[in-house]
Amino acid sequence: MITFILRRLLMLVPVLVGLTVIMFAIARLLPGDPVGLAAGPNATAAERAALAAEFGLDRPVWEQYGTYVAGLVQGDFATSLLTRRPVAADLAAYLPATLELVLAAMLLAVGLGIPLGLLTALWRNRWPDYLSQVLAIGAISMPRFFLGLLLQLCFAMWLNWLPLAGRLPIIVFPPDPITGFITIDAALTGQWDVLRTALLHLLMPALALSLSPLATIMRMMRSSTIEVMGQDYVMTARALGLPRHLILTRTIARNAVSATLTVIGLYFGWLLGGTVLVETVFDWPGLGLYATKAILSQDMMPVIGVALVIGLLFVFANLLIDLAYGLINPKVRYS
Amino acid sequence: MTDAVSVPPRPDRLARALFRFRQSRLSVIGAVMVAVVLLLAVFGPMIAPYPQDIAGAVSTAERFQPPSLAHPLGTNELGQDVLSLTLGGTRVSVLAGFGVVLIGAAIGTLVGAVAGYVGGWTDEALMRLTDLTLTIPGLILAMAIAAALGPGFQNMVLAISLSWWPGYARLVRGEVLAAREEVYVTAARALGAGPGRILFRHVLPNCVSPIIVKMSLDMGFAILTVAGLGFIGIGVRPPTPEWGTLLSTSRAYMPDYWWTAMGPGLAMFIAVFGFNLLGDGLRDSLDPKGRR
Amino acid sequence: MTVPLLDIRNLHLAMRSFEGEAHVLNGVELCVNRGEIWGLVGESGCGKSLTGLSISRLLPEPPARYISAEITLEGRDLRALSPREMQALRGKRIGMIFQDPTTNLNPTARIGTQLVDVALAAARHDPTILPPARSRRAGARALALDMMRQVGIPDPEARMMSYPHEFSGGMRQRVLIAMALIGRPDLLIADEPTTALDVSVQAQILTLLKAMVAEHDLGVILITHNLGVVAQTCSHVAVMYAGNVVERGPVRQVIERPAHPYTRALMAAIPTRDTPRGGLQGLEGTVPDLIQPPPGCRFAPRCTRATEACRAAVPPLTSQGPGHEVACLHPVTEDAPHV
Repeated sequence: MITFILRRLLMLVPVLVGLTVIMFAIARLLPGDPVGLAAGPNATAAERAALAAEFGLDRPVWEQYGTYVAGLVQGDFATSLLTRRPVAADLAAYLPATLELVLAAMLLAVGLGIPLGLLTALWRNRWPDYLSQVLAIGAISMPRFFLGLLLQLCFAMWLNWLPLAGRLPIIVFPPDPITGFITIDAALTGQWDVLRTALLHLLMPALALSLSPLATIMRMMRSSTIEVMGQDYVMTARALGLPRHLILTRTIARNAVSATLTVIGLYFGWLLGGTVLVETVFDWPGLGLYATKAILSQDMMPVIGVALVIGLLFVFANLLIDLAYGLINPKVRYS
Repeated sequence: MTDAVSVPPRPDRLARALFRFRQSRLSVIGAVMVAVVLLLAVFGPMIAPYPQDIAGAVSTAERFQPPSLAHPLGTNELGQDVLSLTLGGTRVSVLAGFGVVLIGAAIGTLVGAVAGYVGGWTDEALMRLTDLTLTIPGLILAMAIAAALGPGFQNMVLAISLSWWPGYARLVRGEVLAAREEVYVTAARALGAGPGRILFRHVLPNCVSPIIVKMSLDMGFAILTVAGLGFIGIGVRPPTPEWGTLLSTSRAYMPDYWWTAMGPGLAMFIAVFGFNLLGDGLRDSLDPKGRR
Repeated sequence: MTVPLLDIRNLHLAMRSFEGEAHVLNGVELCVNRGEIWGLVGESGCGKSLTGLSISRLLPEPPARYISAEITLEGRDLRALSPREMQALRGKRIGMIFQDPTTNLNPTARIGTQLVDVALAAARHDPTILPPARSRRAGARALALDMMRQVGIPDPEARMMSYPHEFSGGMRQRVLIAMALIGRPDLLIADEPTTALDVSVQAQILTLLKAMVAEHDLGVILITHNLGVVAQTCSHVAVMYAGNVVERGPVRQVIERPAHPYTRALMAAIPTRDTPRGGLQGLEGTVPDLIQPPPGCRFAPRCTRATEACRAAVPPLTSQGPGHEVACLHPVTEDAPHV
């Protein structure tokens, strides 16, 4: 199992190289005028040239790439053209917020999607099943940003139950970072009121982000449950008089979950991408918002940094899923 | 006594698919919704109550009017009729969606077909590139490309398409790999058909129905992505009405002028819902084993 | 006369399909006593497996529909039981083994867990099957180990921790037999238990099955399409054709003196040492359409001896010798040409 993990981690290297090449190609080979945007409309030609020289933008692309990769090996993600801050520091600051949001959404999606899928499969071809199938397609069709807006309108603006946006109000001091997740840090340091506030802030963005993967996981779980219910071993379990709840949990659910798991890995990456829109709606200080601001000003170093981090997370998530898959399904044990 | 059992004539495959499709009430509803959306995309600007607003006319006297008979969805910060803007936005979204899906499918089919058919290191290289593209979230990739290309309808469509092809590449490669082992392909090769002829006449036609199913399932997501880019501020620029951009503008006027968000938001939802219902039905009837 | 272990009378069953409702079981009659191994034979689709499943009421209704049936287990009417009571009987009174050992074990649970679960489920209705132990679970575990030993699984302690895919096909079938017998059932229904196995393993499993019957005094229904298996293993045989039992009786009598033309045709289709090259006889025609079955004997369209009377009404089972009954108006009386 250790060799399996090591081999998978080794595969990260070509992924990283590939990602940097692709992102560099987009950043440098496509038309665009980042220097002009950063220097401002009134900058003279000399000022622009100085700025370009400072960031090495006047040198050939392959040389820029070499410099970037050399820095990357030492943990240096280069510097933002616009803010002149090191990208690595920004990534470290914004990553936990995104992870907290994505993991919360994932928890909702998996925690509700799997039991709902199981239930609808048991109700197959009766009206609750039909209704939930329509609702699921509806949930998948709902634009996250519109959903976020509706949630804000309802629960923050009209009903005043939940905070409108952000991770914490400005007047609340965040707990000292231990994990970087405000909710977990607050719980660890025993600041229960901060935990409560942070959870309230997390609720709407996590809901908006999780609805579509929840529906997808539910549909996946439903169809794999239906498939499992037709398997011979379920008939055998019934023929041997196993109680219903055991057949449901140990025989049906376990096998159906193992079929659903692989998809969840793919959806993690999808969630990481989808977080861009939700972070914009809820002003959530994460990677998505950071990348959006950078993209709008054609400041490419942060964008490359975000793409790298998200690519890495995606590969890690799939590694974790594969490990979990091996735990549930004994047939595939890291060969 | 071999005629003891009468075998009913096997219905044509297409007729069977059509039958299965019509059996499912939801997919018929989806098809109707899609038809309405397509009609609105063509005729929307003509039946809009205030066509001049779609072209960018401003009437400050009528700012922020709540929904009424004259303005069923109210007016926005420029006094434009929200219903007219929403109708006008249909064309942009549908066209962009089609563009993305068509270009994405074309690139992906080409990559997948070449990879699957040529094999060897070409296959290896192309599939690595495909996997790599899949690790970058599509929206971020599309945003980066769109930002680098600059604003405009074509650039936006191109940017999204460039993040859209990997799914098709994988699909087509799998189908090609399966098809080239089929007997009829071996037979065609034995008869002296060249690789190009085999690929286009014998292998690819068999991939058509999964590709169509995937395209119809992707249409809704493409429309969502287009709107997402518009919402962030990349893509079509005003005054051309676009649902995502309209929604993004309306955010500033919440909660007092909530109706400015409802038109474009609901339109997006309904269009995507229709395409998803249709795509689901098509998948179940054309490609029953594709159901996962 | 004592009450038989299992008595099936007049079992009529219909199955809904795309083309219409098929009348798949057409008055099956079967009677099994303890210590008897009944072979249930016939072509595929003749209703053997459905008969087995309908005894333990495992067919989903719909698509299945009981038209009429009397199924009694030691005098208890199984059709009158509630689903709960029926579930209590399964595994406990009626054990079942299915054809394909590769698909009939839960791939994601350890062998030990699966055996213990069945043992615990059975012990809920009869705690005496568990050997005395600290807890019910420990008792169930001891019973599972004992069962694994009985069916000849080597090193049961270690094998309990294994998953099904780590077993060979023959070993998996042994596990399934252990699972079917762990609740000490009175009736065992084995649906083609050896079809998916190698010939050498087949013989081992059949020997094991026979030994288990002798030891536990079971009644067995062995569903198979292999007359060789029947001759080797069974004490009695019932031949099914298109949803009917057409002939039944002690295995020697039926095989030596098959009275039904269909049984005779089935036997003629088995090659023996004396069969001349090219002398193997197939059976003309196919099983009739069960949605609109012919009114009389369902074998009549394929039968060389059929008369008008055969096509008018289904012939009842009539005695043909001690315990040997046949549903035919024109039974064959000569001895079988070979065997």
